[in-house]
Amino acid sequence: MIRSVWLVSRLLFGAVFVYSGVAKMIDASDFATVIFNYQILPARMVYGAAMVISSVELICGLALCAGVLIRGAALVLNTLMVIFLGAMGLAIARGLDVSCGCFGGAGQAVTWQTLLRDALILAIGLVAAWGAFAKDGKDEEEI
Amino acid sequence: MLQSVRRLWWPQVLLLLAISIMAAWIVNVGRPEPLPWWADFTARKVEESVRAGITVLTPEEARAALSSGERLFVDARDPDEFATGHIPGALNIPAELLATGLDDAVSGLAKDKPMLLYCGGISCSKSRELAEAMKDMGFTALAVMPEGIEGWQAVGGPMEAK
Repeated sequence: MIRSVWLVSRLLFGAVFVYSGVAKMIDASDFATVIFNYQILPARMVYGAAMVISSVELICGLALCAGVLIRGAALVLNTLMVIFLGAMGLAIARGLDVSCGCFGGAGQAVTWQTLLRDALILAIGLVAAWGAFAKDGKDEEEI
Repeated sequence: MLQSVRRLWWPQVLLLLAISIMAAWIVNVGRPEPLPWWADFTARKVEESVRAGITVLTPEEARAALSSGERLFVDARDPDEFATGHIPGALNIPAELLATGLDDAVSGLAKDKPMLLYCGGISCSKSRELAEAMKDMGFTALAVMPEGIEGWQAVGGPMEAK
């Protein structure tokens, strides 16, 4: 039973990032604008961050879906998720009127709803990471 | 070696990050217009307007233009943002009208009237998009203030709410 929960959460968590990674990669320039808007990174690092973050989302998402390097991928994506949540929380606290940029593009604004949704994604990610680390290194053979 | 990559998390993290950076680089090379890895984003926003042939004014220059009354100020933000506060005397032409047609909104304006378009801040591109569209419609004296209302307030520019 718990194994299927781990599997489903890993596939779900991976798929979310594959989707958002591709969307951000296509619109890297827009995503750079979103990052700039958060006013966390220096203006010079914005483009590089946009390209690397979208790529990390896609590659680690694919790894999770494919069941390869799942410990590393789960760790990286959970860390990313915590950073996103922190950035959004900070934006709300500072009263910045920023677009979330969560799935690429610039449509949705950062609100408590987007924060809650990301917290839910993080929860799924933590279950996926639990599964990845619980299996004592035998992950690839067993699934 | 392979065994340790499979069991330990940190070689996996390093491997994934290396692959990601490589993939990002390859994708970027394949873009029609590759993005710079290290470039001042603020300057890029200003360059975009200059490249489109639109005059760029700093907030200080815009303040001078407001006192002299030489330019009509145009706020490209949404009506609700405009309502919460804008540059005194500004006309609201929301950039969202670009999708449905600007004709009605600009019909009463003389084509050679000097105007200054602005939106939220340096990260907002509405004023430039609106300026490009109006330029195509034949307006000849357009300028943008890329720093937007944020830059305006930062230099203590007066505000008006309605």
